[in-house]
Amino acid sequence: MKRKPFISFRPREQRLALIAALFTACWLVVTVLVQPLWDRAKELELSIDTHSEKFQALTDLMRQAQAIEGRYREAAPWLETDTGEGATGAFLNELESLSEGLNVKVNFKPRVKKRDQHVSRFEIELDAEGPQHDLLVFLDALLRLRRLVAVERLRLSVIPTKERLLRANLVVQKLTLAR
Amino acid sequence: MRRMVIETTRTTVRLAIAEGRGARVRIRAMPIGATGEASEALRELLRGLKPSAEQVVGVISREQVITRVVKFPAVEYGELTQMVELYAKGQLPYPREQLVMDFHLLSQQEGFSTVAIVACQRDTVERQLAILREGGVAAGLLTVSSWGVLGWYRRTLRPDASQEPCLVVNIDDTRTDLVLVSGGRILSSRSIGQGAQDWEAVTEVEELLAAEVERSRAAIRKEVAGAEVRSLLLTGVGPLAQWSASVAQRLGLPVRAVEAWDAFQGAMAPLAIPASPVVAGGLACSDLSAVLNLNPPELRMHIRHRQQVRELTTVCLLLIGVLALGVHLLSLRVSRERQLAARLTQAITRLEPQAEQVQHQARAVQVVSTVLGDRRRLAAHLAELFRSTPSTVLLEALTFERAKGQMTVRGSTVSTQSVLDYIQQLERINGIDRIDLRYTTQRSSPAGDRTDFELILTQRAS
Repeated sequence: MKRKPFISFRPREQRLALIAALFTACWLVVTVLVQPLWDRAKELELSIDTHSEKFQALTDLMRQAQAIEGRYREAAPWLETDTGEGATGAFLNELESLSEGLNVKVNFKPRVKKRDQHVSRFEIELDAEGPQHDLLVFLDALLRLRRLVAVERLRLSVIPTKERLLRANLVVQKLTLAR
Repeated sequence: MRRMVIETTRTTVRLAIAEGRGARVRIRAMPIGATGEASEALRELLRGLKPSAEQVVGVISREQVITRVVKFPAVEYGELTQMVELYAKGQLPYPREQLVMDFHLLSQQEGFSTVAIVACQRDTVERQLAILREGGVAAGLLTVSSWGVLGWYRRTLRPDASQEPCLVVNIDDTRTDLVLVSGGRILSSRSIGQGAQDWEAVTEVEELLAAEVERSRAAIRKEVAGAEVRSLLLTGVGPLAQWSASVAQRLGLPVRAVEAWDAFQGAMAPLAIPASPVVAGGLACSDLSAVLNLNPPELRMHIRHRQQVRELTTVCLLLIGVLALGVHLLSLRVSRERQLAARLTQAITRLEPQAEQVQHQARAVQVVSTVLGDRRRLAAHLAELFRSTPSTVLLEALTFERAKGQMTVRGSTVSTQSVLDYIQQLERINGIDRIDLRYTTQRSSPAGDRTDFELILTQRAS
């Protein structure tokens, strides 16, 4: 004889229980399997997009590598990598030598070295005073200097009390590329 | 689809099993033993067979039900159901709660429907259900034997309007069903509790048959207006050909004798005991949705519940299948994307050192070209500025700021017009985007009147 179950449900309750079980099962499947997989798929898709872009950029860069290398060889004489005290001293000496033979009085005021990820910047403030011709020759020599030097600021003015004399105030930056 | 039809008569229990939508029908019969227990015989019959069938149909003999043909002023099924229910409460010879009933439509015209109400005492239905239950099967449908005859007729003969309404006479061992069929529907039916076995000792069977047919015709004339039997079809057991010729002569109607087994080609060999396969076989290959349903209300509810549960289970399985498929597809996608990501990472790792080197070079080139470009531009602008300055203009101060890309020129000249002329000169300098005059001031000096000015030259962005 078949035993009656301990808890017996009416047909309507059985159907409702079945529907509830169905929803619970679906919710569980969605929560435990579908959602994490979906999230993972989205994450991977995003990562693939980023990686693809990066790969594309790298490929494009590598395609231009030869041209860049050629230009780099041309620019190589201007590049320095030594940022030590020796290099700084040599640069100051070179600046000083620019005024040699000229009637120009030059004062240097080195500032603090700045360094970022790729470039090291050594800033110097120069005060030069002299006759107009000599000072312009000095400036011309400075602008022709075969070093990676940028003129950040230049102030050229007459000296009211001294006729025919000019004063130049410059801020220059010597750039050194980090390796 | 597997369907099992169980028909119990006074002497036998018959079983028809249809598989594949009634295409193949197997019929077996088992005599009810000395104990007279139909359920025992059924158990014996089911032994060795797979008891699981999707549909189990029980048959109630036509003689155990009563019919009433009634005309109602409605054509909608819902309305008809209510009217039949009201009719049953007042007009049937048993209390409603002791009856199980159903109805089928005979005709519909001009807003009226003629229906045949078929009712059976609940005790009879319960008894039939008990036999099936004790035999080891649960019935899904109880119907009347006449519907088996209709099913057999539909399967055996092509519809022929000239021969219909056709009275089908199914002679069984202990019972004879007389069913009037027209247009694939039952118009009227009768049953008599005698069959071939009872007529073995009778000499004038043809006379008896003709008399029963005449009775049926009289009943049909009373029940269904305008319906007249056009032909007669004899089937079942016994010397049908011999009887049909004689009956045709007596009645003056075309009579055909059709072998009952012809409808069930491929079924098992004819039964060892003389029994008509018409009812069980006919029901086994009928469309059960169109068959009269004599299930008691609780059984109907139970079946409906089972069907709903089955449908829900199917939906569950489908949904789970869809989810499983989705999960599988997602897993495939994740796996493919993971491989792709790994390949990309590998390629990037391989390229990165060289690319870094190239990037460093590109950066260096960029810095050098910017610095040198700025210096060249400054030198060119200074040279151009001095070259463009006329002798009437006295420059006092010149300031250049690389971050702003601007050059400020301060000086004095003889007049404001000279300042404007000077601006025009300066505008010709290549690489100067804009010249703004900040101020002009006139003053007197021992050398004469002078106009002080200040100009801002903005370099064009490189």
